[in-house]
Order: sequence, then structure tokens, then C-alpha cells
Amino acid sequence: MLKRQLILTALIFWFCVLTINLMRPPVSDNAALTDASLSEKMSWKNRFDLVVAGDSRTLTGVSPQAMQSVLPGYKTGNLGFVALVYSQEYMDYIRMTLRSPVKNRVIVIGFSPRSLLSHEKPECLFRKWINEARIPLKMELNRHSGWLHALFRELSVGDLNIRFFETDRRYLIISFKSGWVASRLFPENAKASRNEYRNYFIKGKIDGELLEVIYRNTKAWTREGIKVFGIRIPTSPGLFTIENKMSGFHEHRIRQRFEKSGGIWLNPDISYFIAYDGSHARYDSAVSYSKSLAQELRKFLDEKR
Amino acid sequence: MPFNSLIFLLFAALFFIVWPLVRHGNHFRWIFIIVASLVFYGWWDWRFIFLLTGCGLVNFYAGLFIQKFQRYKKTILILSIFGNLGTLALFKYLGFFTRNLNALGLDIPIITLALPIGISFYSFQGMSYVIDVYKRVVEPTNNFFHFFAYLSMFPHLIAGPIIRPSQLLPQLAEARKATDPELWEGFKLIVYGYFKKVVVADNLGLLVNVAFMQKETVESSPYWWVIITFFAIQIYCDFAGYSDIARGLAKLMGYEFPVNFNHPYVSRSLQEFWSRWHISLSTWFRDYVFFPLLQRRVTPLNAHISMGITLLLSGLWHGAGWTFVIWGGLHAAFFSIEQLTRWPKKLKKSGIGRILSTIIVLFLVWIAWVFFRAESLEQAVSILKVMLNPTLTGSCPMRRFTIIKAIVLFLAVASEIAVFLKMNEKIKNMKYYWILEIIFVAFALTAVFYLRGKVQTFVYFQF
Repeated sequence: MLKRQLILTALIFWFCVLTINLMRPPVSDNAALTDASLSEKMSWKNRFDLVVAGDSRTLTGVSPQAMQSVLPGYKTGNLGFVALVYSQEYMDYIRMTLRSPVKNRVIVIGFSPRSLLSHEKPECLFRKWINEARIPLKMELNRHSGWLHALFRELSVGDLNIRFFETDRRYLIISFKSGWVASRLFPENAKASRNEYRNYFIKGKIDGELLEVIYRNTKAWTREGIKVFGIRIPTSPGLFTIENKMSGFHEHRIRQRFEKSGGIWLNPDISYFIAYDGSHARYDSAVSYSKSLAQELRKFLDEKR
Repeated sequence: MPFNSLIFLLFAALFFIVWPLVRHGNHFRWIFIIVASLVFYGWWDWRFIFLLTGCGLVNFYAGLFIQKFQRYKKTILILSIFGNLGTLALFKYLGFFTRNLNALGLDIPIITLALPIGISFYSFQGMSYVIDVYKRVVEPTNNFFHFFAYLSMFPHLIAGPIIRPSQLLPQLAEARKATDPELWEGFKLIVYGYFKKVVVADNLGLLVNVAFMQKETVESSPYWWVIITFFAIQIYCDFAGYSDIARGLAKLMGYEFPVNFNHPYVSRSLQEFWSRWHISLSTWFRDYVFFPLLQRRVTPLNAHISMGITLLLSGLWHGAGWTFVIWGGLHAAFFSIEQLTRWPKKLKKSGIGRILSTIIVLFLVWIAWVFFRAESLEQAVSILKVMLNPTLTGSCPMRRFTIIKAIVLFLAVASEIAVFLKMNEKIKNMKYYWILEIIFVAFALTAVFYLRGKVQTFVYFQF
């Protein structure tokens, strides 16, 4: 009886698994590896000369390869995490990824209003990665279980929308070892994220304490001889306006405080920037933006490295 | 390692591969359970293994000494209880006490130690062993491995059920083999447990967390009623899910853990609620706190006072904060009113009355949950003000309530309504129920993988 019960359960279960995987909208093969690559990021220690930090906009918007083509002497890493909210733990992580000795190494802080909202803390997945990184075996498991993640990726509202309502919508996501996740959406929709972001800013504004964490660490890092730069990670003009109006992100004030803490604010050229969903950079746009960022950085960095 | 992690699945797989090889010999079995449980526990923080071992040694020797030195048995009992409660106070309540003393005008440095996971559960289980030996309910075991396997057995170690020595020690003394129906029952319990935890509790938990994280209380009465309803379902499914997984794992090993939750939200009185909610803890408090207090003087007034003290302590057990104490106090007050007015008995007579009884119980339990979940007393009061003021009907900013959460909510509520209407009994008696059951289990398993919410730790781990 037990055998029969277990076999039947397994048959029905695998039938459901197959049906779901056949029914759900296709994603690029590499998409499911994103989790594995984020997990791998947590193992980065003593590894880079130049790192760019931030949330999913940094994750998708900064290509270390493109930056290295302009700054060949700098081994570059993208430390972006999905739904990141700045915290001391994240700051410690950034510092940990720099190669010793840290003098003249470079940290670029990607400012985006959402990563500074304290009510988004419960959403911050970085905690999950921290917890998993505490145990090396867990890390190894995560790094090698990409195929499992792909097979059992949870159904999302996005999946249902794409399957039943927006049938021509497709995501392309490719994870790179440098930490960059190149992505694009077919068809592009510059207004897609607006309501979502409006809601974020209705619920909460920029948290001064989170900014203080950044300023405090910037001060400490510059004292150590690390060069700290700040950028406002670009987005679509529509969302840029919403963020300025609703989030309490006063760029001018933030820039002043950041510079007072020892950081250098950069304004790379973003005239060609395209956000496929209104928030995140299309992969070709990310490459151009990264080159432009590297060119800005080059003005302040030692050429003889 | 939490049950809802990939590493635990690997751990459990390894455990059950080795288990048939070691379960025959007593010492092999006990040592294997202990080693596995220490790995399971040490996965969070290896340093707490020493605390768990210390707790085991204190209670094991207290049991032995009580039997050996009968003249001093009361002193030994008091010392062991002092040791258990002292450790609990040190790790769990020191910060709370110092903060409150400082509020009274003292200037003591506030020391808050990291709370060892599961300490409230295993220290209570250890105490129940010593008290039962003292009362001669059980004979103390002479073998430390036997005792420590009972105390540290990983399925119940972190969040219960709190198992009495008379329930588990005799089972552990035998080489048991799970029968086929027990294995199926165990598998079923594990799947349903995961369903409750990762599908229902984790999906609703996200909405609840966001609501309570906000600095300003949302001025909408319906919104908070919905949120507290979600929380009530979340905490029930979270904890009952854990208990189901624990019971399922024990069944696969051939052991029987007591039922810890028995559909508490279908209760028609608070007395019934407490006989269905966290049964192992409420019976612990009943047997080791309420009865001894009551036996000192059996009068109606003392019964109310004893019940009040018991529920206040139960509140404090859940957390070092005034919100938890008030939660216990509210239950004590509701309970006393129920005993004085006997309203459930009066309503019991008609069908509508019985439904009304359940609605009243849910209303009272919901009100108390506000204190249980709130981040502070101020927040709890402001939420209650909004909830109880029907004129305030602002917007419900429920932006994360999606179709998937709606499905999950429907499944959770529908299953409880089925229990309330006693439909589950009818379904169980159907001719082809076994096929239906397989379909339920397979669908629940599929939902665990595809409708899971964002990973959250079990709520009761904090206790």
C-alpha cells in the first residue's frame, strides 16, 4: 500500500511539475542561475580593485567588463543585489571584497531612492545571502543548485501575467561572473515600473539613518586611503521625475553630505540611457553607461597602475 | 538549520539513510540521535551546543539525585528549576529587566545577550523531566545518552512540541520500526506542515511584516482587521506547520509526538481555544503552574488568580516584552469573564449561537493578537484604536496582495471551514478517500515548490 501511495503521489507531483514548466513563460536558460551567481558573490573576499555597489539597477546597469576596457588596470566587480537596502552589513561586505592593501582601491556607491527606504528592509534579500554565506557548505550548495532553482522556480504574478495577458512579453537575463546581470525585456515598456515605484514612495520616504550609514563608511574608507565615488544610478526620465518628487531624494543635499564625508560625486553621461521597464538598464545601454562611468573615474584615478 | 532550508532536506535525507542501520541498538540509536541533533542545533551557532549540553547535564543529574537523596529532593528540585529558569532569565529576560529597572530611575547598563534558539522549549522540557521525577510520574533514566536523546531530539528541539518524559523516554528505550501506515502518515504530515509554513504563513507573513514595519499606523479599520486576520492565520500555520513537520519526522523514525494544534480557530469558547492552541505548552503551564497554584487553596477567587498568573507567565514565556505580558493578561481577563458569565454555554443551545460563539472567540483572540504582534505598546494601542473605530475607513494599501496570495488564503480558510462544518470527517469516510488523499498530498507538495512565499524563519524560533 505504502509503495502504491508513494508512487502515485510522485507521479501526480511530477505531472504537475512538468505541466507548470511547460506552461510557464520561457526565460533564458541563464535566468535561474542568477540566484546561484548572487550566492557566489557572497564568497568574494579580497578580490577586486574597483567595485560598484547598489541595488538591482546597479546589478543590471553596470558591466565590469565594459569598465575594465576603459580601466584595464582595475579588476572590477559588480556588487549589486536585487532589492538591496543599504545597511552596515552591506557596507562591511563591500569593504571585504577589496584586494589588500586597500589603499587606492575604488568603491563606487550607486545611489537609488529605493535602496534607501527603511520600510523596504523586510524585502531586502541581502540578509538571506548573508545568512547563507555564514556556512561554506550552504554557499557551495547554492552555487551548484542552479538547475534545481530553474526547475522549481516559484510561480509569480509576473509569470501568470505573461502567460495569460501579455503573451508576447519575454525576459532575457544573463548572469556574468563579474557580478553583472545583463537583461532586457521584449517588448520594452518605459512605464512598466511607475506605479510600483509610486507605491514604494507612498509608503515611505528616504531614511536619513541609512544615508548616515553610507556617509559614516565613506569617511572611514577615505581615511584608509580608499577612493570612494558616488553616482545616482540612472533610470528612465519618467521614473526619475517620480523619484525626485515623491521619495524625498534630494540629490543636491545628498551629494553635499557625501562630498563632506570624503566622497567624490560623479555625473557620467546618460544621454543614451534606455531602461527597458522604466527602471532597469537594457544590456547595451548598461555597457555604454559603464564605459562612460569608467571614463569619469579615470579622471581621478592613477593611470600608472 | 531551519526545516525550510535546502540544507535541512539534505540533512534529513542523510539521517534517514543511516537511521535503519543504527536504530536497533540502544546506545547506537541514542548517540546517533544526539550527534545529528547537535549538528542540527550547532548549524545556527555552535557555541549554543554547550548551553544545550549544560541544560542536559543539570536536569539529568537532578533527576538522578532526587531518586538517590530522597531527603533533599525538594532542595534538588528547587536548585534545578533555579538553574533552568536562571539560564532562561539570563539569555532572554536580562535586557527586559534592566530596561524596566532603568525606567524606574535606576541606572544599570543594559546587557542583551544573543538568544539561543529554542532555549524556552528545551529548558521547559528539562524542567518537566525533573518535576515528573520528583512527583514520581516517571522513573529517572540512569543513562545520560537516553536522557539527552530525549531532550535534544532534533524534530522537537527548536520549537516543540514540548514532550513529557513519560511520552518519549519509554519510546526511546525501544528499537522501533515505523509501520507502512506510520510512514505514510509521517510523509503526509511533513508535506502538510511544509504547505502550512512555506505556502500559507510565508505568503501572508510578508503582508503582515510590511503593515507592522510602518512608522505611522494606517488609518483604516478594515485594513487592520484584514492584517490581523492574516497574522492569525500566519502564526497558526507557521507554528502548526512546524509541529506537523516535527511529528512527521518523528513518525518516520517510529516515534509518536503529541498533537500540538487542533484547529484552534473553530473553538466555541476560550477554554476550548486553549485546549486546541499550542497544546503541549498550555498543558505544561496547566500541570506545572496552574494546578500547583490552585491546590494551595481551592476557591473560585483563587482559580481566577491562578489562571491570571498562569496566562501572564505564558505571555512572558513568548517574549521579553510588555506586549506579550498584556497578550497573556488579555487572555486571562477574557477567560475569567467567560468563567463568570458562562456565555459559551448559553450560546451553545442554538446553531446560530454556536456560530456566534466562534465569532466572539475569534474577535477576542484577534484583539489579543494585536499586542502579540505589535512592535511596541504604542503601536498596539494605536492599531486597536483604528480597528475599533468603524468611522475611520481609509484606503487599504495592500499592494502585495496578489492572486497567488488570494489562492493561498482561500485554501487556508476553506480547510478550516471544512473542519468547522465537520466535512473532513465525511470526506474521510468516503470509499475512495485514499485516492483523494494522494491527490491532496501531491498538490500540496507541488504548491510547496511553486506557491511558496519568501523564505522567513519560523515565528516561534524567537521564543
